[in-house]
Amino acid sequence: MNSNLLTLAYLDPGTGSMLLQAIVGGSAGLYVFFRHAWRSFRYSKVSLGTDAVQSEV
Amino acid sequence: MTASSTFERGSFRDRSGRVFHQNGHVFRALGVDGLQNWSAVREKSFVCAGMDSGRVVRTDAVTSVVPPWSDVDYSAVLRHDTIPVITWPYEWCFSMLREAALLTLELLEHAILENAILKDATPFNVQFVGACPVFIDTGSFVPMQSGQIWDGYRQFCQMLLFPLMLQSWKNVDFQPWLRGRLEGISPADFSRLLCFRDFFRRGAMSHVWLHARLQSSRPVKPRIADSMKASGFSRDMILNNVKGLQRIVKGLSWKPVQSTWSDYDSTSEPVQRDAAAKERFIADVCQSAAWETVWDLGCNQGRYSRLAAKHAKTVLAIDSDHLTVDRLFQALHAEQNRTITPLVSNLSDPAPSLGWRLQERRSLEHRSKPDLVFCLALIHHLVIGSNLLLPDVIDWLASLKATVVLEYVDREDTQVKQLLANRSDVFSDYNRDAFRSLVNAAFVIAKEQPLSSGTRTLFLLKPR
Repeated sequence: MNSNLLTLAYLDPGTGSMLLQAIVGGSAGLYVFFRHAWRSFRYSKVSLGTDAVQSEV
Repeated sequence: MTASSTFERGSFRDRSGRVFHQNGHVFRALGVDGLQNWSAVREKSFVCAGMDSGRVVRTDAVTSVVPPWSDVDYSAVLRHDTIPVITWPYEWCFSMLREAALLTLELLEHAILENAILKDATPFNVQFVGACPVFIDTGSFVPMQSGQIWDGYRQFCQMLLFPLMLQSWKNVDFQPWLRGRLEGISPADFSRLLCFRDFFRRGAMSHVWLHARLQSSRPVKPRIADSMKASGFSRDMILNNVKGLQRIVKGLSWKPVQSTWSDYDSTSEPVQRDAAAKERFIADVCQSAAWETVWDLGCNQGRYSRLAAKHAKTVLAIDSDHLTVDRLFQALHAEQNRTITPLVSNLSDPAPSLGWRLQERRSLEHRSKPDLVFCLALIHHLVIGSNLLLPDVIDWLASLKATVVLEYVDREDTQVKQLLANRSDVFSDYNRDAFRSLVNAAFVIAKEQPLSSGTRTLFLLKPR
């Protein structure tokens, strides 16, 4: 997020509300939602892998 | 800084600017960010057209005004047109909240088309001049960034969409819910209120149920906004959401057949019999001076508010009956009336000062000082219906320091007999002698006129 976006967000938009905006944003929004979900899935795998390596160390 | 310069107590959450009052005028002090944002949006056509049509409060930059002292360095000051009386969403009727929601969505839609956005979506951003909604928070307009989401979506749902759905779908008054929690109704709470049938209604599955489910899930990635942007989130998705919300809000209606007071003016026998004499009495009082602010307590269909509006700058038509107020607002809104603002308020349980330090959303008496008050055929409801003490009611009326037109209703009146029909009469203090003695002590009785019903008397009371 760039600095401009940070200054705008005095209001907590809410995690679920952010995700829902993609779902209710039409078919292109659904694509964005699933793409985000896939990226999150990959991120969680990478995080778990990093945690495992760190615990072994 | 001048001695009469003070920050508005309810304007502190958005650090980019802060509203203050000086010599009866309303100003907004802008920080560096606030000024950047205002400079970027002030020439956009949705702002200019909004101001021209009166849908956005008229706002101009001023250089000669200094904000009150604070730790923050302000870069600029804007001056807003003054709204005659500030009102809160929990004092509005259904149609007023609906108009506020539609105005917010309309401005948001136009803003998005010009690469700007509303950074929040609270109904407190909307006020009413008479029955016409006006968007007052120009600090909410900001330029849009690429891939930005709408931060105000959750707030819109909690403070506008869900209360409207609650009233429309469940026929449950939304005002106590907004008054009980200034952040509105959470998706989880509202979702729990829905029954099986409700889930077939437009918006229930997505904006309510799914919203609640997603809110309760823990995010895998900590910075959702970054991820959404990287995944291709665009302004068209917000636009689609806004159009969907517009369809939902326009489809919400609340049309109960009747309520306790919805047909009172046209069906009550004493009201019909005394109407002409009462109108003459009140018209004389209204014509006798140029009134600044009139409170019509227990306004019902607003007959006397309309009389007052011919000679007053602002009229607050107040009644505890939601349906009556809603019908009055719809009639006034259709006329584009800019003098009479209807409000839902129960005098024996009025909205108190709320929010941070109990100063953020102040009670009506802090926001409006009437110079003329109508208390017509109301006092028996306050004393007998709501168990208030007669001396206390008179004392409260006197504390307003206004001229009062009061209609006293005798114990022999059919309405009083109805009130006492199914309860023991413990109201010995409610009688003409006690009333007269209290009123004599608190006011000067300038005029007195018995009405043809024989059980009602009009008093014109001047403050001592």
